[in-house]
Amino acid sequence: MTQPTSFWHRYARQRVSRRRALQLAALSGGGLALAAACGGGGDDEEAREGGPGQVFNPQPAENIVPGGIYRLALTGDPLNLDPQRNLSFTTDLFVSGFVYSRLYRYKTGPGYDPTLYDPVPDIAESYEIADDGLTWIFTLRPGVTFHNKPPLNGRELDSEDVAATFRRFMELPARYEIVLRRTVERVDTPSPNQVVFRLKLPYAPFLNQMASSTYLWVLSKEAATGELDPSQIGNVIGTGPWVLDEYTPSQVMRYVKNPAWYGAPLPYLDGQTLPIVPEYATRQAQFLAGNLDSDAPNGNDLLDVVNRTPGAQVTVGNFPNVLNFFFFDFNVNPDSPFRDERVRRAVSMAVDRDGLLEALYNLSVVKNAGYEVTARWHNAVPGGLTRWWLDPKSEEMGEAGQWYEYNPEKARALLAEADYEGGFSTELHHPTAIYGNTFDQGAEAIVPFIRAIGIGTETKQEAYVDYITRTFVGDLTGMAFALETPFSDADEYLHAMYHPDGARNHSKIDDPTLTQMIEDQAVETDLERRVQLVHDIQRYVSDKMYYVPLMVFGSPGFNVAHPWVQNVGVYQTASFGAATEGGVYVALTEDAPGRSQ
Amino acid sequence: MQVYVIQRLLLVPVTLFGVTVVVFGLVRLIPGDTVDQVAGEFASFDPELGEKLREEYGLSASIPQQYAQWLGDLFEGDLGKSLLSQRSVLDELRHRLPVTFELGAIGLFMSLLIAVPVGIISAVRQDTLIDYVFRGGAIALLAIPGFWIAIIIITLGARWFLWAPPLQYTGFLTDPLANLRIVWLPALLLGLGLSGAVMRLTRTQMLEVLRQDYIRTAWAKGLTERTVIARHALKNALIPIVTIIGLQVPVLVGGTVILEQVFSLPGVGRYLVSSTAARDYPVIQGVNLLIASVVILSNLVVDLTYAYLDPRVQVQ
Repeated sequence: MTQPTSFWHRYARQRVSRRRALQLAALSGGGLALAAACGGGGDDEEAREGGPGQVFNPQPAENIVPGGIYRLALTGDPLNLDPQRNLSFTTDLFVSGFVYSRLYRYKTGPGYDPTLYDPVPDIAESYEIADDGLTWIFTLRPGVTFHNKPPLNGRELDSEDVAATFRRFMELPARYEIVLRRTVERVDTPSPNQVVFRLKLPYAPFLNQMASSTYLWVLSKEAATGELDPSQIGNVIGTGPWVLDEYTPSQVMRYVKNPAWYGAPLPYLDGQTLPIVPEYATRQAQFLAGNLDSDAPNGNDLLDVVNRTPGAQVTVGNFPNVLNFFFFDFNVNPDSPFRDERVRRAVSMAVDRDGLLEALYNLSVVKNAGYEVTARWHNAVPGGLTRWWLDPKSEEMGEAGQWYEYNPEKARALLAEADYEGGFSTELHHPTAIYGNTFDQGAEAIVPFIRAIGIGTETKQEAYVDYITRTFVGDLTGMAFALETPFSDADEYLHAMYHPDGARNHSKIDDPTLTQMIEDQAVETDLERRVQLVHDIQRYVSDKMYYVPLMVFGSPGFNVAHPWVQNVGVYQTASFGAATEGGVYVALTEDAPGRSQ
Repeated sequence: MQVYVIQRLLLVPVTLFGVTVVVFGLVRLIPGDTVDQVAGEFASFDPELGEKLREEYGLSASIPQQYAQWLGDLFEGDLGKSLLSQRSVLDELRHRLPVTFELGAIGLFMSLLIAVPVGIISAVRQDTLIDYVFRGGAIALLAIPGFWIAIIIITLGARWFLWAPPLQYTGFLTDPLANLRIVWLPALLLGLGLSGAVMRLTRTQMLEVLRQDYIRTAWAKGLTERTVIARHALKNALIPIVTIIGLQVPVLVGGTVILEQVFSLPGVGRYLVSSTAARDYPVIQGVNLLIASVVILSNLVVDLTYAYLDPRVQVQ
């Protein structure tokens, strides 16, 4: 008997679907013509047109029939399965996000803007802050259990699990402990369902840190105290919506739904299969052949993939939360030309940000095809954190906004004012073969802009380990083209990059005025007031141009799903906790290939 | 002959010891270590953090101490644990080696299946159209990288026929048919890549042998073409080919690294690539030692086969 996923079945379905698609297109055209003829406007959103398959304002699917296996390719293996022992986003996104829970997570849902990063309860039920602002009391959700795997066998989670996880996090030589180290003094467990964090300062973004997908994934106390090694495949046991059923390195990860998850009956799916497919062309081929349910083509391939995928559902992700910028040697090199802020401003004005976006993301072709794409320039806070971000193009920027304008003539004039009329030579450092093609192409494409204003650059391409241990910590001559790890709160960028105690203060900035501004916003608990303080900082540092924020990386991103996938784009998130925040709502129609697996 | 074999066998452990020194030393010459990968810039910001990690990973001891420790573990059959995944290197290799071995073996078999007959035909039909076509093909196979052909096949296969290679690798012993469905194409591409050089050498050797007096004598005796070629010419022409097959083993290993990546095969090559990028010393050392052992053993087999095929081969 022929299986429904066989080649001929899929081929026939594509042919039928293509005809149907043509019929639908014809019907749509007729409908629009009729509406125009009648002078009817109808609902704006209904009439909104986009590129082929673009999904606008999606609503939750109706008549969902739970079940089926979703198939999505991973680009590589997670470096380690232990959420506290890695710097790999693949672990956060494809292990921790599936298996483990946080006290809070980020909100998602129809019409919600995921760039706001609003925390909502995960395994905590609620929280209270004591009057001193230093004591945070989290009450745990009752009845949360670990996966039904030995040796935990579905035992109930309690506050000791959370506390032990935190203590391990602080003790382990892991990457992010430094960020929490400056804010948390200790953690207590007054009762099995209450966890109390005592802070060193009334830290406003603390709740956000508890929801962050890079910090506190809650392990069992057995794993946290060394009784169980969470880096071993059989010991990946959490309280999240998905249970790790199989992991064959370099081949596949399989998850099945956790029927005892607190959010049951979610997830809708029975499971997810994540084959590990490192080659981009192979992933795309597998998607086109119907062996994967979704794919993320780059801008150059988007139209081709959509045109070959009948009923394709396209979502355009515009979450540029990976900050891209130049930093300089002005605080380590007494002769550095970049000590003069006019030179740094000139560098900023030398760069045609929109031109680079066009070149790197094929934007005009994608836009001409009808896709609605917005591309944001970064400020000191990246464009993907819209609550905190101040648009460099906006009037709110005041005088400081002028330094973002592409104006090579004025840039040369600024250099002349700074006594560099004939320009100067410098080194331009950047890592290579680590962040992908777009970054590497961006690093090459940006050079002519800098040279056009008279700054001769000698490019220093560096292996990642050289770059991250030397250049990235500010030990460089000249300037560097860089990316920052994505975070979900403005303070994580501002403190890390601009505070003298910051762990990522690449330009070694020590500006007392700025330091005070950063410390003030960190303890401001009134949200509106804090937003204003963060905006003030962005105006201040834009005027100083301690760093030159750019926009080359990671956004817009395109996702194409087959028509049998439901709830595409409804529960979007920009965090690594996507498997919990969005993945539990993904569903499959009854004719999906994933139903027969 | 016996002395020759014994001497060759005695050289194996000596060479392997040299390999351990080179593998262990060279990997530490690559800039950066695992700690730089794991802790990134934070190890520079907080040197104590870097030190803690180095101690935990056994990297704080002196290089000779680390080498002695590794060698001691090797003698106990322990290749160590991956610093990053914390999983046993030996266990990983146990799963991955059959994949790479199968790919390499079928690739080698396919290359011989293609190259030897084509080389013979090309020599026997020297300077005819078929010779030119075969020689052109051989040069093309030498010039075009296998991974490029692989990507073109995968890309066009999906676009024209909605076809893509199976996503899920299945072991040969579990399901031979499912296994061959995923392995045949990368093995064929691997074989094609190797066949160019073997085909050209086969042709050259055959041409040389076919001009020998004893072949003329065979023709003069009125033997059939098949007998002259198969019984008299081929065995002598094959001797240098056996050598080049042995020399192809490292090329074969390099080919599997790339094809495993393109076809998503969970082999040793992918393990090596990811661990090199992460400076995962035990994995890099273990995999390189394994590859070096395979090359040493294949050279040993070539040497012994050579001695068998040509009894004049003696120890000098």
